[in-house]
Amino acid sequence: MTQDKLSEPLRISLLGTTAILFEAPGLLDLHNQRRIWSLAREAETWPGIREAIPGMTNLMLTFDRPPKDPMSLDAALREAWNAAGELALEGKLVELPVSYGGEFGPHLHDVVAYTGLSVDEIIELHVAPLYTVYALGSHPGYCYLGGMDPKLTVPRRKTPVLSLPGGSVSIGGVQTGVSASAGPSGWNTIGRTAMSFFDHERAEPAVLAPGDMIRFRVERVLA
Amino acid sequence: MEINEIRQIVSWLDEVDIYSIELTRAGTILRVKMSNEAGPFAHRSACANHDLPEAQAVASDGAVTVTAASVGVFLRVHPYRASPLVSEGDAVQKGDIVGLLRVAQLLLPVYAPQGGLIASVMVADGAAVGFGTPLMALKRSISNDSETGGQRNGN
Amino acid sequence: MIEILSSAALSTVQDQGRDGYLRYGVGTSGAMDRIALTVANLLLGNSSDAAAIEIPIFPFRVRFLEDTAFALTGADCLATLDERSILPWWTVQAKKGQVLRLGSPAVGARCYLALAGGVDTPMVLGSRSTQLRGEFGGFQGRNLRKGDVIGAIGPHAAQAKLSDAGMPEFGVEPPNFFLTSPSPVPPGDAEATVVRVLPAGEYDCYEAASLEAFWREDWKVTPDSDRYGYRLAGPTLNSRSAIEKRSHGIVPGVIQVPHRGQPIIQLRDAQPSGGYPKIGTVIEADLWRIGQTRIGSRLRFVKTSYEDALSALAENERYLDKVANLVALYRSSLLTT
Repeated sequence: MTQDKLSEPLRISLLGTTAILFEAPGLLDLHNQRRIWSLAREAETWPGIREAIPGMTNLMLTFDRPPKDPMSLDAALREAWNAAGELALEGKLVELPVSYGGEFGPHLHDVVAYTGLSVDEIIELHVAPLYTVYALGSHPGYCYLGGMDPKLTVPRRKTPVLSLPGGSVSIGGVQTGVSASAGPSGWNTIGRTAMSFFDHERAEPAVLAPGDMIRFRVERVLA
Repeated sequence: MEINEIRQIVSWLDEVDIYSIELTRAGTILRVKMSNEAGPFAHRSACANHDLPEAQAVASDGAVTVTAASVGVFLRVHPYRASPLVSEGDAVQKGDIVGLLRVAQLLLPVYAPQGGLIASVMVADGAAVGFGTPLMALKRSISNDSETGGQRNGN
Repeated sequence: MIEILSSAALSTVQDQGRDGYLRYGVGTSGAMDRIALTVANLLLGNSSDAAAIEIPIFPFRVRFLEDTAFALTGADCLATLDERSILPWWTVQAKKGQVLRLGSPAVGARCYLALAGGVDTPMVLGSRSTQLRGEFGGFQGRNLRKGDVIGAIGPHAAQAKLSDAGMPEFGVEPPNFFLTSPSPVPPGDAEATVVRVLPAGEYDCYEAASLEAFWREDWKVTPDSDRYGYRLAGPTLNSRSAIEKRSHGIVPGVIQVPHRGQPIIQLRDAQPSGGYPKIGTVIEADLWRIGQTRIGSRLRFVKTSYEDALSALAENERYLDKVANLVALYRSSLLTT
């Protein structure tokens, strides 16, 4: 059994000729994420960059036209990271009622098996923190959350599940998140919540944004 | 011939790998030579799908020769296919596509100007042709003759 | 305007994709074979952002409810319009009441049916591509079904003038004859689709034997392959130690290796982010080749350099520019006579 290395080195890699990925050095924490938000604000103004997409202490830049010289983009990212301060985005607080276990949390017992914690302990650890939305991704409106207790770390599943319903509350590695629509997932689903996270008719279609905060509340627990 | 037409021909020549072109129209001869090696895209008269002026040389027995309406490469087979569009002896209807004229990446249809049988194909697949090059001979099918009640001339 | 007559499983309305919303978790979607879509629009004189119908399952039939010019590109699906055979990579005018039937292609996997002016569905977040996960965009945010009636925006002034002049019927040579096909070394299955791949972030984490296998194997495209991704079967790819990545952005072409060690090529409807390790990225210039690769056939990866990947993109653009110029010249020549 392995755990995430807590601290990572800085990495920059290409995704074909379509994008470049910057992975920040250090811990998966709010300090680093705030610097990623700052880096995103800076890099999205650079010529040739279509979009700056924050991930979990990382940043993907997609290209309008691929740069002839990716090494100079590499250098620019390193320099901009060194200069990046923490962008302290603070948004709204949203409370999500969750039904844990049973049909809503098909992998809760896998989390029990992996962590050695009881169902009650897992739920208690899951609802305790105030989670910050670090980034959106995965599917429309989906929020990657920071702040999960590392005791709940469970690796992603060996084979992704082909379809999980929207509202699924899951754990993947050291992260937790809530799906916004039905679809495949490689994470361990422990519960479900009802909430609308995305409205395609709005110019800013996602309901939540980086810097917003989520608290989970126990609505009920199924065996 | 108007200046816009000439501009158009020149821009085609520039686009396609043809070097020179000579066009004759109503007593005027236009010769254009490109300074680089390029190819011609002769001015092609537009024709509505099935109003086809491509039948030339109507012989006394009603046979027609299908000729190229443009400079290009004559194709008997579409690049994606294995068998030719038509073979000798095939019966075709007016408006059937019997060949293709490739001009750079463009594929222009060669139509059967009337119904009949493919009597012969004069040009090999992939051969370069010019404006007016005879491509195929089309003769009336025997059943057509009997339907028209023996209106053949001669014989 | 057309009516779908067959069950149309997995057919969707797509344009070149929805850009600019990755940071909201909205993937680009868009055509799996963007070259075929581009040419279908060029043949009709449509604007480059016009949407068309992507058809991956055959047979497929539509009835034209109005006179409509259309174009058909992608795999040669032995199409017929009523009784008349329609050539591939071709545009022709259909009359009201005619039925277009696409059969199973012997080669290739997807066809594109474009209509004059483009498919008329609402623009959502800047695009008409179908966002299946989010259930929006395209035709009601879903796959097409029998009975669906889909409108065409209709010809703009220049297109209508051409129709009045006698709509031309013509085609173009498909890209395979112009573009350089990558060649694998050593050569493998001659029927396999060959695509160029750039190593990705976690490439160096893999065992030498696994990397060798990655480049040498004729990977089988399993039935679990679709617009989300192509799941491949072949040797197990082992990393030297377990890799758990923080969730990060990905793009179509990224080849992920989940724990089981079987690679998945993320494609147009893939999640825009993920956490599985990435061994390589199929270059953007070759994604259309994957779009034309059938389930059950094989894929071969060829290692390339960033510079060669840029050259491949430039070559694609040269083909499309040539087609665009030739078609524009030809269409305008018809108007001036």
